Amino acid sequence: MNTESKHFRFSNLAIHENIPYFLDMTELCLNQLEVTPKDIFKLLIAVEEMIVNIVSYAYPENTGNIEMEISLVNDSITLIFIDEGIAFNPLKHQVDQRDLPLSERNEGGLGIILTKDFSDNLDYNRINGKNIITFKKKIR
Amino acid sequence: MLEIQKEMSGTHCDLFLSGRLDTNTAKQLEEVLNELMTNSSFTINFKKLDYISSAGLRIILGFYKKCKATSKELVLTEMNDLVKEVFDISGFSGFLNIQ
Repeated sequence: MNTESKHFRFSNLAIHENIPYFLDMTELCLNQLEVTPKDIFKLLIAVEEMIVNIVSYAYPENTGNIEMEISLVNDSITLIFIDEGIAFNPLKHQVDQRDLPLSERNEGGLGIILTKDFSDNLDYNRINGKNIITFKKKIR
Repeated sequence: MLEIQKEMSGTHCDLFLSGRLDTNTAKQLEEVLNELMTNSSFTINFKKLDYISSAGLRIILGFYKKCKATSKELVLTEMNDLVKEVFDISGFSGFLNIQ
């Protein structure tokens, strides 16, 4: 596999109906990169959580895109999520409730807990009116 | 895609999940669970569940709360290692009856 084929980019409208599109495309790319099913499971969870966040918060009018990039460099997968919606840092909105009994927990924040746990590095940046989330995970 | 199979015996209900419990299918499980609330105990079998995201966890959490509030028994069984890991990371495993 040459270097070119280790980098994928795709985009689509940030609406709920397109969540399966982003998951299916991710799975297709990760299969091409020969990522193991175990790592694909974790990466798909991260993608689902990040895409759901963007679809839910970035564009109140439902009129913007999400661009995703997937790359494999030195046994490390990088997922990049870009949107041009309102500034929103999902990493700041995490409320860790893991020590609370289940009956006292509310239902938010679970997605970001899973995403953080499955990543080796997770960053948010706001650059030129874009939200950019970068997720990195070593896979081999 | 998520498939939910039900088996009733008296007031006990066995549910067998297969496929994916995610943003797209969570609502489907929630509706089934709501319809079954008249039963007194539940076992949810995860043997054929390949994937669960936080959307799925939220449905399990909501159902657990309802069971607890009405003194009903809830047991989760036969999770694969990855699904179990999701429950562990979320901090659910210490509170739920997972067998």
